[in-house]
Amino acid sequence: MEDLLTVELTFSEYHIIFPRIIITILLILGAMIVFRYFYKRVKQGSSKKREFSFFMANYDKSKLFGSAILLFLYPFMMELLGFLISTILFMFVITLLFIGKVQKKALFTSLTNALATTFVVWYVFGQVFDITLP
Amino acid sequence: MELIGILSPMSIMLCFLGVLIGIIFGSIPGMTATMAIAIFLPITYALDMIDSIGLLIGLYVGGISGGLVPAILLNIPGTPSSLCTTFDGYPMTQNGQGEKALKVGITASVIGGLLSLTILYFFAPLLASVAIDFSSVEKFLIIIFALTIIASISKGSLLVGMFSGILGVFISLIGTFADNNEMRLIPPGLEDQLVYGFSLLPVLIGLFAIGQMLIEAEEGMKPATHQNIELNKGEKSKFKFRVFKNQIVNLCRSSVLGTFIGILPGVGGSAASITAYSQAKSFSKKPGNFGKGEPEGLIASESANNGLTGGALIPLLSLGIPGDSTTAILIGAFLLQGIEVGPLFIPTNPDLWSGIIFALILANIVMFALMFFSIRYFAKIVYIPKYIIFPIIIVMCAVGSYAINNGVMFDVWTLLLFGLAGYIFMKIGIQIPPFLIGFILGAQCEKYFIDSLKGSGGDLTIFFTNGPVAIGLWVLIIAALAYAIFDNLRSKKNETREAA
Amino acid sequence: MKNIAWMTFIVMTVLLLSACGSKSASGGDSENSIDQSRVRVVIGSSSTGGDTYQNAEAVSRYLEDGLGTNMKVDAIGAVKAFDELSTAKDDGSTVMFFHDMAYLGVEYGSFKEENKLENWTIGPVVAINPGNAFLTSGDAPYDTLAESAEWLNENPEETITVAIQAGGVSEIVFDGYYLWAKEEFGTGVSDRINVYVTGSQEDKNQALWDGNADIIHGSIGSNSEYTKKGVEDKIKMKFLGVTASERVEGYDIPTMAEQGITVNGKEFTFDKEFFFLMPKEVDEEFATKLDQAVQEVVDMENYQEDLQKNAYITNYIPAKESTDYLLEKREEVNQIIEEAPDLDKIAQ
Repeated sequence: MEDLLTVELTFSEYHIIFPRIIITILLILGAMIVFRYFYKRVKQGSSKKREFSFFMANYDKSKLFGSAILLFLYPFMMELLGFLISTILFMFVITLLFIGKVQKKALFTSLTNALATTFVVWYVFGQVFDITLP
Repeated sequence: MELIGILSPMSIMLCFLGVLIGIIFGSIPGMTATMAIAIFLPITYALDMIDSIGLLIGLYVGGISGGLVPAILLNIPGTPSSLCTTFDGYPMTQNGQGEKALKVGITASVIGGLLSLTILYFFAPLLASVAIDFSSVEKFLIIIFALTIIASISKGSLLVGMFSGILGVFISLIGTFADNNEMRLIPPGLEDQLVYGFSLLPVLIGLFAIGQMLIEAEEGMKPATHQNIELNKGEKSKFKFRVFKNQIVNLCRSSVLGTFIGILPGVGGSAASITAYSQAKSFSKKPGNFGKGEPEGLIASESANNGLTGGALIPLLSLGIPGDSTTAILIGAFLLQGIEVGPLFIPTNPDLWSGIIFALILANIVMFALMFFSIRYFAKIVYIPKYIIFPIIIVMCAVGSYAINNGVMFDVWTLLLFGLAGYIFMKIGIQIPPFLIGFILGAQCEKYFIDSLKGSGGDLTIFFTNGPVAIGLWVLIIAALAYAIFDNLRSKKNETREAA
Repeated sequence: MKNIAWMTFIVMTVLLLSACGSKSASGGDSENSIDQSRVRVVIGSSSTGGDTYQNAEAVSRYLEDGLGTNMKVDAIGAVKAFDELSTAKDDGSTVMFFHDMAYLGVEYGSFKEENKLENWTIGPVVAINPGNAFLTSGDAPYDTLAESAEWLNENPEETITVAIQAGGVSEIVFDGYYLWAKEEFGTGVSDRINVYVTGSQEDKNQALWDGNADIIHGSIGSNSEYTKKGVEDKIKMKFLGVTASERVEGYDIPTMAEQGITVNGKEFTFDKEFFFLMPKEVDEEFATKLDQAVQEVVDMENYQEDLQKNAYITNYIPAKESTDYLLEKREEVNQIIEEAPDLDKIAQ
């Protein structure tokens, strides 16, 4: 009993004591969830297969994947082109993508949104508050 | 009259300015009160001590309060401590009560702030002395107590909610353990980036803002239902101070709880609103409404996180120990001026001490005035088309993430990574609020666990034998868990009854 | 809609112009002026309340004029600071400011081998924090570090636990104390000295108050408030000695050397020094200008007074000599580290 209530403490292993406990709890909870899932299925009979689809019906492919790709391009662009240029480009394209149609008005809105936000952020945070921008 | 004597017109103006800038920082997802103070820290060198106190206190109060705006209107916590504000604030917006929610939140904030500064003024040295008696054992138990909220906010399956919370704890452990500088749990190849683990802010706003944006993009960025409805739908949605009539107990309890958690050095600010929310739910007559737009929950969260401001200043001013990360930066302002903050600070600097109190009173009042009367315009944010507001939010989040650790590109990657994770979580049923609470509290939980064991030589019974406070905390923890399980079963029963 | 858009355009332009205006207004006329409009000073600490930030902030504030540029101190922590420095341009737009932990961390294994001193250009040494010290609670039965070991010798049942942070200045000075106790009184005493390893100063203070530690590492700057008259007994502390080679003016605290603490026959002292690090291939012109500007700043009375406020003192070692100086210091420290006890054995 005493062994159970005592943790072996070694300086060089301080860092793995707690993660071990957490991983154990995670595995137990995970196992319980899986068990409950199959238990329910067996109880309900396997005839009723639960339908699960990751994406919702009729989802907007171009907007979802477009914005995801743009999001991941953005940091690369910042490292290459600096904050100002990449943010203007990013804002312009993503606003246009979200509006979803290329019209004169949409172009104008995107451009305004891109330029205004970028300059305000750059000026207020980069210049006035002296925050280190990307 | 005395106010004018101690605070110069200059410091009053700076306090005003501080509150305004603080509110802006707090309300931008990705910028926090801590950051605002860090930015202005070098500037304070050029000011008199009393003037810089006015400015910094203003920033502190404004920054903590501003977080409620995006939390209520956009479901994005502006600062970590306004996480619980989203639980009921955003549903209120969806029900067409956005403006009311904001006003309730602001009023709760100012009352929390004023109550806590009263406590600060009258009981600072006494409470600080109590705080020192809280050893790592009690702090560990308080964190565990805060973690029990995971059980009570789990929607649907309790098991999945707990899994989400523990997963959050697990993710928070990635990085280096400070005591022995050893890295653990880091995926191979990312040692350089993850040496300090994931930063809280990018994780928080990634999961909320970016995750939500991806969901919206999937839906095609259609205007949300609440964008077409009015902010003040009908008589029921008007804000009246009467809302608070039955909330006095809740208000006081949450403010005091927030203040007390603020006092404990090393127990982070987010724990304040988390515990207060969970207590409000446990004591409420209608716990079933929590999470669906119940002002009671909003009041608890907001009064607690402003209660924190006075609380965190208690150990700072009466012991020289910062109560949270923001006050840790505040201490830098004193040091730049060559003023030592320690146990003798209050008796040796009476002018500065009353200056701080007056600055706090002023900042709270200014905050209330600025926000309460301008909120009608703030609230209009929800009418801005999503295709305009989301790109702006992303850029703000990216700038904030980059700046939070003073310029680290990996934090921007963290933001995106957790944005994607948030999207996937929502799809596969992992619950984001429990996950985040686990993530926020995980590292502290480990620290105090190991610290307790270092003190006891590895003996686990220390958690039960460390005196009456520890026993009392255990009683609270068990009661909270039992209540959560009971509540979960009851609501499940109700659901099946309704379905039948 | 269109009106709003136009308004934004106008506001933006005005802001942009005024920003440019403020930019061109700055820039110095000093002979040491450099081309960069902005120098980023990364520091090895992530705290803005610590001595690294204070020293970096003070020296940068005065250097701005001399160099005719803007300097921004970023507290990003040691690992990230080294990382930034290794990818920084060679034009001096990013420099690092840190103290002895820069190489101690490498020697103790907390930082990676690539970060060793040889891989950087070492700039001038700027200042000392002479207040690096050990403390104990006010009612402890000993008043100096030396007495604490004697007390252990006289009371064979007792132990002493010292709270330190691993891998930094506090570990090296603890090692000095430990090795001396072992030399002087034998393992009978040194085996009863344990460590409580923890992080920040607050944690060390709390360890003392909780009774988890008997002696803590601290500094005059952050701990002297607890030693003053009128402080409650519960939190009262007293200094056991400073590690620097000389006493700090205005404080009656003996140095470790004065107490007769020696390691390998030599007096044990450790001065915590702050210096600049730059990328290996940094532009020579920039390095020279920085060095000259630092020299000028160190002579300024205002700067010295600013440091005095927090009990720091100036200590200029020109960039030419600083490399040899620090390498030699590291050599001496290494001898101690080789003999030092393994924390696994003495940590609780």
